[in-house]
Amino acid sequence: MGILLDRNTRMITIGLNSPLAQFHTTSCLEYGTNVVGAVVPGLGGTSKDGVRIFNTISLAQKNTGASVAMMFLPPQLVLDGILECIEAEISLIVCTTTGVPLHDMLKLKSILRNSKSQLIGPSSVGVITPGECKVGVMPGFIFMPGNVGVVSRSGSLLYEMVSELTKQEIGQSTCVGLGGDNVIGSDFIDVIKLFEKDHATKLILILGEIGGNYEIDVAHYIRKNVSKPVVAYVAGSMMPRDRQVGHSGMEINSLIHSAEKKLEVFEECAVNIVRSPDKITQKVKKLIFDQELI
Amino acid sequence: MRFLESDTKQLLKENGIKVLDYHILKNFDHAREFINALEGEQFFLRPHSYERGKERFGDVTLASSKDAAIDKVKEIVEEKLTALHSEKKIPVTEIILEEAIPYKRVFYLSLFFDGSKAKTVFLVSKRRLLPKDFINKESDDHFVVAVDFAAGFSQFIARKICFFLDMDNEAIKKSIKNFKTFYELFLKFDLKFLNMGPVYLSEDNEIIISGAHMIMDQNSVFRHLDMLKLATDKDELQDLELEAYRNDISYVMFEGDIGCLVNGTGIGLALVDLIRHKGGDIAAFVDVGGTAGKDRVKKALSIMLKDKHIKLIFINFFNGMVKSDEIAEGLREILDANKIEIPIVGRIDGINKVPAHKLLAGNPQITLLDDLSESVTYILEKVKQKSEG
Repeated sequence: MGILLDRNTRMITIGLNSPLAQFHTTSCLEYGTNVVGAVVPGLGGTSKDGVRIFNTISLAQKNTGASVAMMFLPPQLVLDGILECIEAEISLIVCTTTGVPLHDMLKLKSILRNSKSQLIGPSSVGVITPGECKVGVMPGFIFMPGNVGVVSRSGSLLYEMVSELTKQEIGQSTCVGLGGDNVIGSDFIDVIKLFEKDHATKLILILGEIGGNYEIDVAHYIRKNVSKPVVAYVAGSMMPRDRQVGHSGMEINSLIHSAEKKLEVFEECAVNIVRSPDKITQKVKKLIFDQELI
Repeated sequence: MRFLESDTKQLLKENGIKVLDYHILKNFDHAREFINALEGEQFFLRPHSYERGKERFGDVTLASSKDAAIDKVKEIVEEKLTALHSEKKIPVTEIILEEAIPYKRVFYLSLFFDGSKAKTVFLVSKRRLLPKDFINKESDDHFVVAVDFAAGFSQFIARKICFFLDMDNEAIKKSIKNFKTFYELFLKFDLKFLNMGPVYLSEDNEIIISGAHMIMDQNSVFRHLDMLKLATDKDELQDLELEAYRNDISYVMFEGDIGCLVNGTGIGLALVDLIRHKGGDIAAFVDVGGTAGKDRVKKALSIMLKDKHIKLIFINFFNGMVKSDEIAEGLREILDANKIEIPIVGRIDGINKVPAHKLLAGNPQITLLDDLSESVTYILEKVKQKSEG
């Protein structure tokens, strides 16, 4: 079980021509994902390492019945690629590309609202339902099937925390990397909604960071709509505020909420907050034990 | 990508927006002669700088005579510029003088992204500057209105802003086209921020821009290569930060002693939280990004080795996109090529972890650790020993 992906999911890779895309397509296959095809315009009819290649996304969709696309296009081509996925009615698009222009994302957001597709990313490390299906670039071996739903903006933080959970033998239902960009396809609320309905998920772990309003919005949403226990950590509360840091699009200035502010709002909304990353696993473990969740 | 005030105003001017005439005072020793040579009697003064510089300076100063203007220049130079220069954070080398005009209203107008709503937002404030700790909600002195991408700009957006500012009907009629231009420029130049303030509504109902800054989305630079020569980000970076910036590495210096090399902002921030919770502090936050290959990692480490503030380097790589052994190879090349005097502690995990550890095992210049929390305790102990010994 879990959300978004399961053992019956059929995936295609968009942009299989780069070595990076080939490496990660193979790694998804090895994890157990049904990789049913790939799209490279001009190479239709050929195949690469046993994966059939198609010229267009709709052709790939019709021939393979794929519902999920893993995207490895360069930033300038992402807008076009996602529009093509929407046209082909691919239900889940996972975009790993970093550096997608902001205005392209603005345009896409307004189109996605009236489409049959859901977008995760850009700059997402992907989605994984441990033991069943992996769509993305994450190292599969750090995950373990279980009952904690994890959603994170940062990929690196997701790996780190999931790896801690697994070491403590706390498995995960599904883990989602939303991506650290300013405008992202799916936000915390989109994912939390699914976790709330999912039978496998007993507890939800949110890993946020400075920048944007996503954490504030989800905190208010949780207070009204979520019955499952939620643990939240927001990275960056100890960061000096007057400089811009990081490789992704975030900025620290007075226009955006500080990590501390986000933690306060989470606390007001009855979410279990953690201030230091080394306490997250303890907190999750304690909640599971106290509330006899598993 | 940031642009200076003068370049932003030039762009506005070219697009039919009225900009208040200004003079730039470059040499403060000759302030008296410079000001006496001007025609006006009343002036607005402020440092020629970036948004963040302006925040620190507070309000724009009005000088009601030439003598007052000269005094104000002295005040800014003596009290404020020197303070900033010693911090080496914001270079302010020029002061802008504008001949003061009579006006009906003054306000601050900003266009930016609201990521979570995926909309462009107009923020208007009745103050001359952006409200501090702005929260995306309305209040008595500021007001927000969002533009949906699909719907585009519509006149009601401008009307809402104008009524909030208590403008009269004639002023509203005249200024609607200006607001439309702001939105069009925002889209055309792939901007992330277009901040204008102070903005004056003159007595004959013209919108006149005094201060203006813009930030272009870094990811869209490929569409505006002709603008690259105007970008000024580099001006506020120190030498090592600039070298890193040119190599697509985010390098930010702080006051502490630990240099953190990471491949993802999220884990980097978490690491800083952990180090500071345990009582340590960082000297540099170096993020190569999750897609960084061997060369970028090598470059980042070699820049860090030049940074004299760093007493210990902590490398934390959890790899998904890029393989760990590729990263380890890069690290080993740097370690082999240099005799390093500071301790280096590394955690490398993720795809191809085992071959990566094999590549670095036994290298006397790096200590490999496994657990995050234990590693941080270890490096803090190490730094403490070093500063005591």
